[in-house]
Amino acid sequence: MQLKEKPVRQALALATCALLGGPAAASETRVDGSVLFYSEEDRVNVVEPVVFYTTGDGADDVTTVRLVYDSLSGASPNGAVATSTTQTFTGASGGSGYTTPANEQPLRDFSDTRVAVGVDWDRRLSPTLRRATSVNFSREEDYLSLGGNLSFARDFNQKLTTVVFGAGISVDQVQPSGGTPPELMTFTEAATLSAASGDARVRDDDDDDDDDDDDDHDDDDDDDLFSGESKRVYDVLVGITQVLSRRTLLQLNLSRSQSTGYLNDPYKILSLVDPDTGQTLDYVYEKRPSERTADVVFVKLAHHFERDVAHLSYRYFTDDWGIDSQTIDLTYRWQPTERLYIEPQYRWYQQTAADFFRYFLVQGESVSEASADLRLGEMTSNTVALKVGFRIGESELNFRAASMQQEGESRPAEAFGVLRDQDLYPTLNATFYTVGFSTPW
Amino acid sequence: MVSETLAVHAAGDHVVVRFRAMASPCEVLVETRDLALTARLGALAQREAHRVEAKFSRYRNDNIVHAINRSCGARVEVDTETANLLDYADTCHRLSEGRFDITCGVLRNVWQFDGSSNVPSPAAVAVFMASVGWHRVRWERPFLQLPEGMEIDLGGIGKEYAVDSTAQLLAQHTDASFVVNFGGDLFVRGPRADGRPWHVGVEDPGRPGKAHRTLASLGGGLATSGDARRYLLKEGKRYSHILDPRTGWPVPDAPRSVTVAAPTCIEAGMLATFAILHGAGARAFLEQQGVIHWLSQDGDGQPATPRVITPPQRR
Amino acid sequence: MMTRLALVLAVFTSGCTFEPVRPWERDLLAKPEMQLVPDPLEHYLDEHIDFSKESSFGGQGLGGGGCGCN
Repeated sequence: MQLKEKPVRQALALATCALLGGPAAASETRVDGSVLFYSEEDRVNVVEPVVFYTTGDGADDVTTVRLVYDSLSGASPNGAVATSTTQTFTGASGGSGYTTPANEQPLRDFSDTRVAVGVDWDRRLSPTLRRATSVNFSREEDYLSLGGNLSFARDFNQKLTTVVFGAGISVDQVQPSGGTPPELMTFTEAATLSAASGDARVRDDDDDDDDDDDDDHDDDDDDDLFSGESKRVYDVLVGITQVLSRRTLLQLNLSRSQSTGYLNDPYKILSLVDPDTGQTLDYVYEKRPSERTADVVFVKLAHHFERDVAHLSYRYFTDDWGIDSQTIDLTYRWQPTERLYIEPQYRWYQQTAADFFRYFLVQGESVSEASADLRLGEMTSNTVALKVGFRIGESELNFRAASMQQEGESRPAEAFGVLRDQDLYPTLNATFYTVGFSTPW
Repeated sequence: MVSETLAVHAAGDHVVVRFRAMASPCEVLVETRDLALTARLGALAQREAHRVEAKFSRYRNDNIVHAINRSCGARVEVDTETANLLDYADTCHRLSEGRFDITCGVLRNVWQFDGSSNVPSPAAVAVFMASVGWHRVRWERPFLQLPEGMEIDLGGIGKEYAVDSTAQLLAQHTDASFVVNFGGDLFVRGPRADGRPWHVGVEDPGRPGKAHRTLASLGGGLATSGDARRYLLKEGKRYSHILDPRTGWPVPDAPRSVTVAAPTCIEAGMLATFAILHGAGARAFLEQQGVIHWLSQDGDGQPATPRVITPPQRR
Repeated sequence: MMTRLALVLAVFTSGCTFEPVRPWERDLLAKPEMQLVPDPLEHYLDEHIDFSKESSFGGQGLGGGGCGCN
């Protein structure tokens, strides 16, 4: 007469599982894609398609695969200053070089293709603890990078406060085409050395997209993935995010990074000028320190108005190379209808020069490090952007146009003689566009 | 398409959307202040409730149940969802040793629980008993073969199944905590954001607005079996509308209503049904299974439908 | 410069009251546009451009691996 004992409940639970298919773990898969078209006036052009593939349950267990294809071409400053005559840059071995017309900033042609892959795993370990792991791989003709990072986010205070702690490491391999140049050696010295020893230890300052035709390559450097110079970057980050109100969020991050190894740009040189006239006599390969420690303070405020959202961030960067920088970024998302948003953005960036930054070197002076890479100089950059997004069902289509202008000291105090006649920091104007989409898959 | 307007109403710390389906007042409560989101979830819930009702109601003439009940002994191939429900009914039939039986619906031809004293004669009941018994049915997934004259009625699990199915659907559309309540059979997707439970109370009908018994639910289903309005009263003896399919007669000394809390609404409903089928042994059965339950016996007054109550806010 | 920044922050935060946020009031914070990185793709592309053209890097997250662009 009695129904079977306790097993009834368990058997029923099992049967129910079969009927309802267990707890609904909704699978949320999304694909986000974008193509960047970047163009500098007469300089670099980049086309960069990027795809992010996200899968998982959308909340506690999310995996993202990132694919990047980067195609760069154009010309970039080699660090030498403009002169009133044509300049010819050749390798010491006399191979073909390139010339720069008079009174123009010397630019070196290049083209490169980069492929990068990354995976992020975000997992919830407990109701208040999440872990994020990432692995990244990047490969281009002369550069290889492998890195990873791990971080934990812990919620407190009914999830109104979140503390994040993370660390990362990146191991990079630089294989400059034409070999690694000798630091702070002049072209003349290098040519003399190479003629004397018959051994091409110096690099031809050529277009590097005909590697195969370059007979003067040091054979040891050819095709060996693990030769060349190496560089390691370690970084740690600690951050806190606080919900200030129903509409406001505040983030504060402190991070430190340590770079070690080959930190030079192997393609950059400095002009060596006459101490009286300022005329260019020779060129010198650059040298940067082999260590770099940087600290960053980052603050961000996100605020939701009635309908619109604004993000304001400030970053302070300082390192032991003497570079201090500040970045302010303000983005306002205006949402006139449920399906359309228009997002203007303004970014302001300012940096001081590295201690070893030099517009040029004067013959006779001795330095331990020097670089004329304008990206290490004192400069200010302004970017304005406008993004428009349309929501179509659960998908989105967006377009973004931006204009960036980078300005530095064109007539620095240290310029003398004929150097006074030249613009030593030509303004860089760049425009870029992105076309992107986001859709469930 | 949503055929009726949904009534959306903000209630302090949550939003409620109400509609009618399965001949019951239905509501979805969502822990949010987003009225638009709640309206969307309400529309989804209403659509799913109507879908399940349309598919499994024996009152319609255009669904699988109608096809099965008019199959005249022929084999009917059923779809996956129907097959899953039939498997479930089959399991419950075995677990209850025959007391839960979806083929006993034909007995409504002799038993009309309208509060009158029309108790049928044993002979009349015996006639219909020839068409009652899941053991007579041939169920080999996905083919169901009912002997002629037999019918299936999924009314005993339809509403609870709709609650669970709707809750699963809504869970894919929001991360918020919510309650799906179809006429007192409900599912709580919780807990609420700060770990607080939803409060489900069974009102004391004698004192409206005051909870007779309260359950603090952090998640799971709640269902009630039994309906005090459906009974027969003859010579002082009350016949509940829960029939024992093995005899064709009401289960003696059944409690008037049983409410059970379990991980899902359908489990809660089935455990409540099993309990009632135990008749006098209902309470013992529930205690043995270790489930949270309420029983309402004769003389307890009208039991009321469980509903979600909101305790006064602490300011 | 710093006064300019302080002024902007003051205008920004003047609309907010620092009150405890009830859990059911987190609807707005859950929206994608209120995430700290609202568009990870755009963020990736911007960071790449900035890294290639400037001497500063990082701040919002951990290093994402290097490239030869700097």
